[in-house]
Amino acid sequence: MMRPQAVQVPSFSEDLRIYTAPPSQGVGVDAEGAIARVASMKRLLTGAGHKISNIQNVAAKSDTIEGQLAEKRTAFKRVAASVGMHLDPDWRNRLFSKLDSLIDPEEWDCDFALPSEQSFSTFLRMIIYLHPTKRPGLGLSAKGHFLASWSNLDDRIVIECLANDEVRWVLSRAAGDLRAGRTKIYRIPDVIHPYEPDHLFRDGDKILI
Amino acid sequence: MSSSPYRRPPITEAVVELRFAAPIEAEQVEKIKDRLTDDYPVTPQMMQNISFIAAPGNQSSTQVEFVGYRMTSADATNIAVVGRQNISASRLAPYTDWEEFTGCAKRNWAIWRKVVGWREVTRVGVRYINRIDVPNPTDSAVMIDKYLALQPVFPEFAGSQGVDTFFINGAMGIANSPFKLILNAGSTPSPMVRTTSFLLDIDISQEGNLPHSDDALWALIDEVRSLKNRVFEACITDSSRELFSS
Amino acid sequence: MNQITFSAMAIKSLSDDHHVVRHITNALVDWDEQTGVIRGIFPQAFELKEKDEGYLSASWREFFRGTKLQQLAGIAAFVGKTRKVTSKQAFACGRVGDVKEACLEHGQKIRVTYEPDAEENLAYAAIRRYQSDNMELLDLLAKDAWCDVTHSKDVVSLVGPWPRSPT
Repeated sequence: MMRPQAVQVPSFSEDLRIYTAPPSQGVGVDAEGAIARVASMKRLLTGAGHKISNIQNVAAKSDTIEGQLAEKRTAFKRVAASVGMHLDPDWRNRLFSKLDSLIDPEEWDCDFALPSEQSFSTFLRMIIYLHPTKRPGLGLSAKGHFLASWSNLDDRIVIECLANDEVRWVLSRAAGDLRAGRTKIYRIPDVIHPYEPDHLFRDGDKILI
Repeated sequence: MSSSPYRRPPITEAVVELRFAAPIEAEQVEKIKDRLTDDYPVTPQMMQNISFIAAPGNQSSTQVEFVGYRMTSADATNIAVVGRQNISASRLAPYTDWEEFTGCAKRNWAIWRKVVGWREVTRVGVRYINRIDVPNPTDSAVMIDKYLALQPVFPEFAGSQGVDTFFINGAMGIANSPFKLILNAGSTPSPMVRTTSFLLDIDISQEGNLPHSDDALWALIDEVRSLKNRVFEACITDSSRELFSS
Repeated sequence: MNQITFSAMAIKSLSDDHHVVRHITNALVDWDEQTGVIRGIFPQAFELKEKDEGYLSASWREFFRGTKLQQLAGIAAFVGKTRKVTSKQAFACGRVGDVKEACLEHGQKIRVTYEPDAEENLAYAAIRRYQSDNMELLDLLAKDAWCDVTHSKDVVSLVGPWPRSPT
């Protein structure tokens, strides 16, 4: 008897091994043929559709800061391409324009670490997950981490995007609340919910399609 | 303005590729690369095949074969691959529309023709790689057939349950046409949080008996694209269409 | 620092009513993208870097006389010797007493000292006994103690030629 299949892998699993683990080793012609097909399959599933949370920071090859920042700019745009269909085209253009401003060699602070692809990946995944309708302010820390801020009058939340979907956040309200923490992207709504943050994220220009 | 019926087409990459009977000279590839720099200003990546031949004593050797260049536009969404025996144009997400995409491909082709002259085209291919992103906030099992019209079918047995990953690959001819279809579908790691994603990869090509004139060649590519659209629609469900339209 | 040469300007604690100024690079200013107005400073602007050797660098505003802008221009001239100062940045002024109070709220009894550097910055001030691993403190500094922010374009226009590169 046959039945329809369901995919059960946890959606936020970071274990790519389920896609790349080889079967028991065979030595016959059929096993070798299967190896080739499986290798091709692995490349397709984990290459073109690769999970941006597994992105690695790549050491810049150029020996000038201009060249290094240009390499990073290209790397960020490549990261953004994997989720480009979910980003509002206008905001995507503004995001790249802001990126250009943040890593402008004329403004670059040489004490800063180069911006991190892993941080940028966390930032994009966070934006898509939180689905805000207000555009964030964007910054870059001296450690190369992307910063996003949302404000409403005197209330503000700042989220620092680390590697591996981790963020540091701090939320301050005119009412006197000041809270900070460190969590994973998917927990952000839960941890800030007690502070009624909706007014920070809503009612603005489109970010996502 | 997108010519797609969907607000959010799931296309992660669109490719148009032409292959030739005989390789061109490396110097010609270099010339083409130089002329494409305006549209693809990011430093080109050289592609090489490196092989190591082991032999007894000190006879081992390494062979490096120049293959071509991968060239990238300033916004990293348009890619050109210029090889000794092929040229392709790729568009990554966000996909705009067919006219804009083939506009790039035609410009690349025109430059190729200007440098190389006429060469017999042996294969024309159009490939669309789609990723269907299914929001899954509760991290529950997702029924494949809710989103894809093709899926693996396993027998029931004691202890059988849902799959962790799957992959389907098929190659077939299209009846009453010179076209061949390669279809890949499978689960894929999602780039987004709390999302289950499926890959749907459609490649349609024709080998041999290809037109000699540019106009006829691009008309053929248009026809291939129409067939691709029909295949795509046959592979997805209304639930997927809702995702692409939301 | 040569303490023999500058015995007249030895290290001293700054009065609570005086001000310390942080030069804020473009990436750490929270800009309103639509209007170009400064909305604030990111808390990370008050994070210690490895090279900081455990204390936060600033400048003593009252080293200079004149209006606030004139004082900031003087500080910008000093800062410009070792850092890029451009018109797309900011200067954040904090009252010493407010900075100390904010840090004390989070268990840090800091010292704010004037430590002139003859070669680089005669108005140099240091925030010592400071730790920056507390995000709440960083945000408090950014939004409260150090919230008097001046757009650098208003400052650099007073001093020329700009931009200056570090010597």
